[in-house]
Amino acid sequence: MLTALFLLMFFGLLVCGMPIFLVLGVCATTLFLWSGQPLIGVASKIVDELNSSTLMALPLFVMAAAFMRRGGVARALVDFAAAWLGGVRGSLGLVTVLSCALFAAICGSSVATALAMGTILIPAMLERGYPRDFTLGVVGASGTIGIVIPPSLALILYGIITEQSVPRLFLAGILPGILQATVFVLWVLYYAHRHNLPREPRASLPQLGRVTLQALPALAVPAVVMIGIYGGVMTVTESAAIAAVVALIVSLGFYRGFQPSETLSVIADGIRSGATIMIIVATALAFGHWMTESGVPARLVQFTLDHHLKTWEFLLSINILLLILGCFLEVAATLLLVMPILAPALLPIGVDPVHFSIVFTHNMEIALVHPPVGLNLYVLATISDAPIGEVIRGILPFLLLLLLVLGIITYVPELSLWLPHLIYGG
Amino acid sequence: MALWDRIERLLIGLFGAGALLVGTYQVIGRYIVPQYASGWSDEVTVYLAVWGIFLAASQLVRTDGHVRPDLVLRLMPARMQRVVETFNCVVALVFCLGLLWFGFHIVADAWDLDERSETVLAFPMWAYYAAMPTGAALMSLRYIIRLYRYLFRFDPATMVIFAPHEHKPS
Repeated sequence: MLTALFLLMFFGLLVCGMPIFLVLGVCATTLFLWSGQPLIGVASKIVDELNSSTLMALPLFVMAAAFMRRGGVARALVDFAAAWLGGVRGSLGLVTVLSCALFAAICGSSVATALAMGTILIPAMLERGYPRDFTLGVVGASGTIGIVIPPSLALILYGIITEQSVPRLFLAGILPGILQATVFVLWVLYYAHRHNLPREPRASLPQLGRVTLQALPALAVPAVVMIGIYGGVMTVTESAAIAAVVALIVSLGFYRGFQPSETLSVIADGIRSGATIMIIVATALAFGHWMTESGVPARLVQFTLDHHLKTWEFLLSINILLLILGCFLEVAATLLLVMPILAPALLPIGVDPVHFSIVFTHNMEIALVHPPVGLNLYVLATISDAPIGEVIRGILPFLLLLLLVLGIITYVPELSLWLPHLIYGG
Repeated sequence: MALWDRIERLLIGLFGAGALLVGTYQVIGRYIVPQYASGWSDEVTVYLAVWGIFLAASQLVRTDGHVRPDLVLRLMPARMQRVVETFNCVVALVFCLGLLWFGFHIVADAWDLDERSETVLAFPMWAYYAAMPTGAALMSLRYIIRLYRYLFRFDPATMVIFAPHEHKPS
């Protein structure tokens, strides 16, 4: 009964459009009151949870992303991909897949990717006679690949909430990410062949060299992170700090996306984007602590056992639940809302938390392009002045491909788990 | 108001820049020039970043930047949105005032007990804890302004959320 009332309050507040940090804070406070604890506990829990060096990886990575967004990195990546892929039929489509994946990997948000890349790539593709629905679909869908490519904000958050090793999660995301990119590339090649899309002129050798040099600083950011973490020298937080500094230097000194005098205000913008997540993380951790004691996760486990739910049936229902939630909320918000409830239930039901992290993030990507309310759809409609129906028509084939990939990821755990097991052992 | 904004933004920028500098210094000290190695950079990065984050939380109230699921809200008529938003403001205000009140007690206790961090730096913890009541106080002020606007200065053209594909009436 109490559980039902509690869940009612939780979802009721969400429906009211209350900020997520408040919903979690209010729920944590209620749980505190129930268990008869003094309320000062909520406040001290929040401020103590924030006092963590690991957690600071988040605002630092978000700052790196903010610098890259302001720094004019998108153009360099598009030129780079276009020069290398020029000779292939439908090459601009492939350029989109590649450069969106790279950009999203750097900035960690597929909505920002759709915005930054869409404004450059959509006009270019339309000019070369690509059908508009296909153009919109390719841009909208490609940004979602980045969410599993390190440094993935979603995976860092997941690691913090569920106490999993972040480098391990990064490794788990690599093969599924490659699978998704391959499926997209094959589809674009097939589509280009059928609709006889144009090739682009091949780039000359010196041009190729120049464009690659131009893109190197942008590519340095993920490279620094990978080397730092897997070289075993830096912690995730330290590599985040270095990534932010490198991103700042690259955008300021190399691409000149903003003036030196604007540096402080760009940093402030970066902290602001970081704060949107951090304030939720702080309350989510306080909330998660009491969630475990409230018995809701235990009930969830009991429910699946009572109804003889198989692991795959559990995963399927979670997939559907996440697709619905993801239509309303951003990736980070959904993660912080759901994982405190799900995390304690995973192992008893027989789901590997590392495998689940990939299922989860993939689910979130789909939700972003899922009609009728995926966030990416509206971003694309806004920047291209296309009716929303056309965007949906264009994204539909990609959505089917994404669902196919989701099925494979969900029911072939080895795809996610093989690489981390190989490197770190079982 | 404009001055308040500018000071807030300046401070956020300074705290952020400070966190970046100290973080870089730490990496340099640990891996490149060992004689600069320090036992305090880890925690100072955290303190600076958290101060920046709590100040930024106030900015986020001003710009309505706190993440929230507004889909259902978007479908409501303007009058209904006003009621729900007023409710949201009141809840937010109560929560922030609570954080301010209890946060203040946490700071006062740390001050009285002279609580220090367990490192060579022995950083006075009240200076870190103070970030929360400060942020909560600023957020409370912002929410009072927001509440006032919804109650007495309601203007559907700017304060109602529209579906993104619709155009706001101008």
